Amino acid sequence: MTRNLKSIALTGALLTGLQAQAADKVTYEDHVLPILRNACLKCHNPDKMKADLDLSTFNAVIKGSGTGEIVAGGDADNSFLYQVITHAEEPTMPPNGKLSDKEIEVFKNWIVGGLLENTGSKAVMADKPKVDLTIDPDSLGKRPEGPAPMPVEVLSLDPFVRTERTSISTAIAVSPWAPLVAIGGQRQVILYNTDNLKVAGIIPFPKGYPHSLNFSATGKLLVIGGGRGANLGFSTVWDVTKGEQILTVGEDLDVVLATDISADQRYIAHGGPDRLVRIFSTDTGEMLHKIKKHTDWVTAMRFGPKGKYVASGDRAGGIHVWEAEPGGRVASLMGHRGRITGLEWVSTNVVASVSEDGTGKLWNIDEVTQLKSWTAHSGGASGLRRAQTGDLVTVGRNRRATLWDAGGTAKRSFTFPGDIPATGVPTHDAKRVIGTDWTGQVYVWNAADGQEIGRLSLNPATMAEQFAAAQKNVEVKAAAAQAAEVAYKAVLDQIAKAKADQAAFTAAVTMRQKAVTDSKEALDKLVAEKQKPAQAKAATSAKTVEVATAAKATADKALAAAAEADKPAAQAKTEAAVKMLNDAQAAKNSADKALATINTQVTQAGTIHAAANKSLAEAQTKQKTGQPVLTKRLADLAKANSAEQAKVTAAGAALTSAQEDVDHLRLSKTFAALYTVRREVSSQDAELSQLKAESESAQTALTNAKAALAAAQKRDLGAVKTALQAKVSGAQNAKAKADEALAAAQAEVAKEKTKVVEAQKLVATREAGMKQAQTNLQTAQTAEAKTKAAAKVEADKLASAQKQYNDIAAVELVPVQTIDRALGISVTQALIAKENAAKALQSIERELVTAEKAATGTAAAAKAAQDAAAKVKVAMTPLAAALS
Amino acid sequence: MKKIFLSLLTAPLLLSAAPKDLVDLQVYPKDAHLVTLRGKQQIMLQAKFADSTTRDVSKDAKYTFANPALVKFEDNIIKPVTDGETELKIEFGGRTLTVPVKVEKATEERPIRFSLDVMPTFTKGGCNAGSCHGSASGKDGFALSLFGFDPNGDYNRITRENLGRRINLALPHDSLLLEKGTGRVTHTGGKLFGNESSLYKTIVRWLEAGAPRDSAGTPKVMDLEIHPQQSVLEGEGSQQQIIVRAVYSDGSTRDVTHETMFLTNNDVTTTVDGKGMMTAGTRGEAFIMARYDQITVGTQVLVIPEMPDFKFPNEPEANYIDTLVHNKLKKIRITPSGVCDDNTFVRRAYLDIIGVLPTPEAVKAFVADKSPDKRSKLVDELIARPEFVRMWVMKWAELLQIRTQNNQFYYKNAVLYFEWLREQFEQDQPMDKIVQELLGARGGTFSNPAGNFYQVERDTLKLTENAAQIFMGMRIQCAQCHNHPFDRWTMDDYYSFASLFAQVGRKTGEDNRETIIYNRGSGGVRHIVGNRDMPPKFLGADGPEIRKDANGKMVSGFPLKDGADRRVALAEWLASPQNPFFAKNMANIVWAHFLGQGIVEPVDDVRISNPPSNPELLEELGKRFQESDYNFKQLVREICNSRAYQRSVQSTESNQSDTRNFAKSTIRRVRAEVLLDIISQVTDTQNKFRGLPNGSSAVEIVDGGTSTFFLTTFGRATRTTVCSCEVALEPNLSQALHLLNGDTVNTKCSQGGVVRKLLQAGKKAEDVIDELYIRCLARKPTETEKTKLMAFVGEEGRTDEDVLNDLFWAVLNSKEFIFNH
Repeated sequence: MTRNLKSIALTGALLTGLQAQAADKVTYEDHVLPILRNACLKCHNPDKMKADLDLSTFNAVIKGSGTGEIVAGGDADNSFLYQVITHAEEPTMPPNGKLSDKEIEVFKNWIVGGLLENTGSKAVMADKPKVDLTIDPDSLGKRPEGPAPMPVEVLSLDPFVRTERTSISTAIAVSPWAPLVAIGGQRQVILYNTDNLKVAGIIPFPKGYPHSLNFSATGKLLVIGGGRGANLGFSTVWDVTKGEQILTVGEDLDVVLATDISADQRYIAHGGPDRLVRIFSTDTGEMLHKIKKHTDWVTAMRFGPKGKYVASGDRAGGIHVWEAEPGGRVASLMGHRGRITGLEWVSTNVVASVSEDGTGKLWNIDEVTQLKSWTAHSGGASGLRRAQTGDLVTVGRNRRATLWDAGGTAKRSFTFPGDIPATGVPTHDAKRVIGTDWTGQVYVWNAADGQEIGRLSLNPATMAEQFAAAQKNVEVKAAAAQAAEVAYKAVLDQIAKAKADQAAFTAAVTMRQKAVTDSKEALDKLVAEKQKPAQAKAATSAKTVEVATAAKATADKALAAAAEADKPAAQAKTEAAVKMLNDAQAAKNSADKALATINTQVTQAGTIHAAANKSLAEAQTKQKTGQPVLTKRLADLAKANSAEQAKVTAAGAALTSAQEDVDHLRLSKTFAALYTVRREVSSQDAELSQLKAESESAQTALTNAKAALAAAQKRDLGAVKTALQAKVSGAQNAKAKADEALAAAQAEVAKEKTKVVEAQKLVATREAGMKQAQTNLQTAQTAEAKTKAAAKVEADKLASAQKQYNDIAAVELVPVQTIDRALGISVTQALIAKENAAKALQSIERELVTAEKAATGTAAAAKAAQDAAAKVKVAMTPLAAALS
Repeated sequence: MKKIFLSLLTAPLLLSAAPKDLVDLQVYPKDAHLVTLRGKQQIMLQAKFADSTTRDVSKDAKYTFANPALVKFEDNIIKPVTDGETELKIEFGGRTLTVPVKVEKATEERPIRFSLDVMPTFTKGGCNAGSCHGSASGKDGFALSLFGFDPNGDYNRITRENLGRRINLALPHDSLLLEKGTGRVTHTGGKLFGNESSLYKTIVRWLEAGAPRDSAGTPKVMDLEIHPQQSVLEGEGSQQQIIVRAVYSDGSTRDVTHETMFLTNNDVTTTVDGKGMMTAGTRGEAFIMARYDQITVGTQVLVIPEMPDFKFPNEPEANYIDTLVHNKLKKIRITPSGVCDDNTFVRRAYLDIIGVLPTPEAVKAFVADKSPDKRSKLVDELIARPEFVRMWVMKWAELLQIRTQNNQFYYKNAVLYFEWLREQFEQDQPMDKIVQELLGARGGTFSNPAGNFYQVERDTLKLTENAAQIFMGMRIQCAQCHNHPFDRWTMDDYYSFASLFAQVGRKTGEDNRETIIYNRGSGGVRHIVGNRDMPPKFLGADGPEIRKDANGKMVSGFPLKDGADRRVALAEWLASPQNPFFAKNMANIVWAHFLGQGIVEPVDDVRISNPPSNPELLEELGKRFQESDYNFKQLVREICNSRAYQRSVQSTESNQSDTRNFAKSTIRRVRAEVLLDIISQVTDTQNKFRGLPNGSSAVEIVDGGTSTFFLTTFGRATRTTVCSCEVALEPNLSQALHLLNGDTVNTKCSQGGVVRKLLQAGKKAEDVIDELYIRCLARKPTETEKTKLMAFVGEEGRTDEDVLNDLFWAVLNSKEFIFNH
């Protein structure tokens, strides 16, 4: 069976209806009945009533057949009548053929248009939402195709309610397939992305407080149960991927404490302090069953994985399992001694429960047996939640959340540091555990190591606050990046300096080495070039001195030996030797002196060389000791360098991310604005449709007024007058007759007057009667006059009504746009006019009745006069007889 | 503004009243101590006038502060401005009073505490009343401790029992607690307070603070001061403000007048509003109870009409009783009735004192006696008769529940117990001795029948309750589960008192009907809250727990050593002057017997909220009884000699509606046993009761379980409880029918043959009538009566005997016979 899915949109149904209506106002009397007369009434008439169905009157059609209603206002596809005439349903009608498409179209338009009886009727729309949430049963328990169902720019990110403090939340649910957690807040439900811990959307819950949350098996739908304590309870269903509210069920007198939607999405079951389990159809929004079995508040509700069974727990510790349809009890699981605080289906026939009595229990539904019972939390367990992975999380008054694997082994405990926990839940992949506590803190732990990853807020900041904070963050991050850069630069400087230091070391050594070489060279050069020749020269000169000395000695000897004669020669020779010796001596002296000078120079050069050597050694030592320090420093600096560089990168990244945040928020803000606009548009749409509806109803009112006036006109006043006149003339006739009778009686009396005096007396008595009759006649005449006057008044009123009608008609003639603008006024006018017309009619009718009464009165009076005359006559006759 | 305006209006009105002589002027409280910006103290001024009326003159006095900068003073309430000390000078009627005023932490907020701030709102709002959430199982799933005896439990229930339902810290105003209390959502209890009330604001403040739990060392309310203690309001519509101040364990005080719940026990006479303003109604007495925290206190109000011309008649006074009764009557402007005639008196005295009717001879002799002190002589004479003892043994047998019980209390026990009682009274044993023997009894119940006190009731707590009810006239049962809502008794008091009976040992004697009572020397009683072993403590006396004595000094200690017989200590204390209740209670029981109405009524319901109608009289009776060494006969003599006892039942104009001030005599139905006895007496017949010889009187029946249809119908006590309510004196239809149609009267009339004997003695019908009247009513018939009665005599077809027997029957069925008047 196909159903018009689109019509679920809040305003869609109304709009469609209105358009149909605007196009062609199809009514039962004008359009449908003629077709029915031709094709259907042979069987479906008040006498034959085949299938208990009479189609001959509007009311009978609305009443429906033996199996129920056959038309649903506004929804042709769901109307049985339409289904059978389109041959979409058995029995196909009419039995021997099919109506023409045009005729079928008439039925469709009539139904869609709201089942108008006539042009003056008001559209009847089925007010229950029609929702088709059914899903393929084979898909149950499997990951739905496509991306994980997340709200992507469909929900407000702005909280609807901001408070100074947070309070406890008992409502929490995690999407089975997506990193999405929903937590009940103050008059809203907050969705967080469990991966990045950012607000994913906020669902308004303006009429109360969410007490219970559950995602559908597909993760697409979120059912929210709650309301206001001792005042109102209901469940609403949201499509988180579309950000739309789909359905609201229940109008309980106390809050809904537990709610769930079946895996096949056909049922919602909820319960609360009224101890009732209510099962609703998502198809019609109607309550299918109200089960009165629990002896205390219903505190837990969970559908089984196949959607057939639903388990409910109560405050006294009782658990019952029901079949959603037809609502029978499958099992009662008795064993808990305190409030049931959590229920989860572990498999198709095993239910896990936790209770304020502190225990957790496993139950087999088929056998109705308790499989296992263990102490989950001393002091009382407050909640139980299961991930699609099979992992379970329980929380309890011992301030712990415990993660259990699918086999029921405790994997890890998480301690709530502040106060007792309210709820705990594993994320869809069971990699994280989220818990809320009494003060309204929400902790997110890493399941693997038990570390707290972060916290969520039950009181998230508004977009504006977030934006301001993000912008501030950008500033902070930018400053940090700058600081990091500065630090990095400083390190670089230090490295450069260290490197310079190192170079200086090397340079010093090199320079000194050169000095050593240079000084050696100079020394060597000095030795080679100066000292050695000078030494040679000195040696030569010394040799020359020796030679000269020897020569002198020889000369001296020769002199001594030489004769005198020879003496001059010898002398000369000696003198020459002396001279030569002197010269040699001088030369030696000079050579020695030169050598001494050179030697000094060599010594100096040696000293310089030694100094250079020393200096070199020193520089080398310095280099030797300084190098490792420097190396280390360089190494350190290299590290610092990379660290600072990393910091710079990180700061840059942080900045980028902060900026991204801002960008994201800016986008979100844009989205939020968009969201607001969208909401406004939708509310304007609603308003518009309401206006249109109002316009329609104004038009209807106008039509009604017109019809009323027409009807008023139809009432032929002339005829009334005639009737009255007839009556009056009747009365006149009666009078005439009475006159005649009277005359006759008088004649008779006159005739018999002389006969007897007693008779005269009697006659006198009777005359009084006659006088009365005359008076009556006079009264009747007066009444007639009055009636005439009344008729005139009526005529005047009619004229006034006519005028009013004309006015209305004039108003109606104004262009439609003007009507829309002046809608309010014209509606009021129409209403007033209608009322006046009705009043006028009423008063006309009243007057008519009065006139009629008066006329009747006159007739009666005339009759009475006649009777009196008759009586007189009757009395006279015996008298006459007696006298004659 | 409105209030100021009102006060302007009322002030001249009050001033315009006739000027009176001011005899006393009191200001309450005597000092004002304002701590934190929430500190406040209302000041009330009560004037007492020579005609014993009082008036609230708070609005008429002139108030001056020595340092006006420290405080604000509006509507007679002092509020803090700046820290410091000053003095409030009050001037009225030429007198001046001063009140020291101290202001501390004037600008600091007082931290909100659950037990000190929030809990009282539940009491004031009525939330924790027994009919609402204070009932044991709570209401609609929400339970509070009754009158707030368990603040800790209440804290947990409100904040953490039903997670997410009762409070909302984020949006405090949306808390279900407040939504329900203000009736914004369906609440079975309806709207209890408004959004603007201080109760609402207090709860919101607590929620806004995060609903904190009280820290350790949070002070407790130790005492509640209420002022004035007594008011005598003149004229309908006159008003009196009550001031209530709580005293905390840390020595601090708070004006809690507006946070206190006020209840009146008589809203025709006095109503009271939520702010402690009483308004007088019609003449009468009312008791206003003030409940704050777990303590209940009260104040007494007398309302008298404006009677400027009232003059108390010159009534003679026989003894102190009359003086005290008259004092009260003067105060409330009631003229008492005169004294009854001799015939009435002789019948009344006989019935009350010895439970029989005077013989015709006795009546004649008494009436004929011309001596002025013949009434007191008659009283002495009657007291000395054995029937006097019989009467009181019966009364005590009721209190001690002498009644056989299967396998616990046998007939032999009953007889021995009864005989023991008779001996005590016969030997004029002082009352304190009797009680001490009872409570301190040990050994076998055959050899020492007094020990039967412990055999009749074996349950320690019931024994405790019985002891309190019999000997002190107190019903402390309530305090077993919660602090007494209408009295001062706390659960601690209860269990500490019970602890005195915790060591009673019982074992079966040789004869299995006998129980040996001994001191076990060990054992105790545990408090139901916290399961503490409670140290023994006398009811209303100092114990190991620190308490304030009369002078405000802290005292402690209880002189009982381990292993000492707690009962002996109790017996000694109970029937001693140290116990302020015993003598008064005994005196009241006796008084109620003779006057038909206790000074505290019922006699075994002494409590703060049921004050004596004449405290001075009760005090004096108790004092004299005690001083006379608990001489019971002396007490009876004094009561019977008083003019209060001898009054006529005829009322005067002003005492018509009065029932509680002994301004006239009460008409009382003769109690079951005595009625049967006197019917038998006048008809000359005998009765047979189980275990007693033929002809014994019904008063002598030993066993409460023994009864006859007649006795049961007329409300004889079955002795299954110690309650004074067991003796039923209310008339009912079956009583009337039984007298008229039942076999008792009719059968006895003919059985005894009184009429026949008189006729046989040669008396004439006329004389027989006289004789029957004197016999039954202690008077001769009036002339009218006689004439009317004589008309029946000599009726055709009936003998005189038949007629006179009918007359006899008629007299026995007359109200005058069945009632003591």
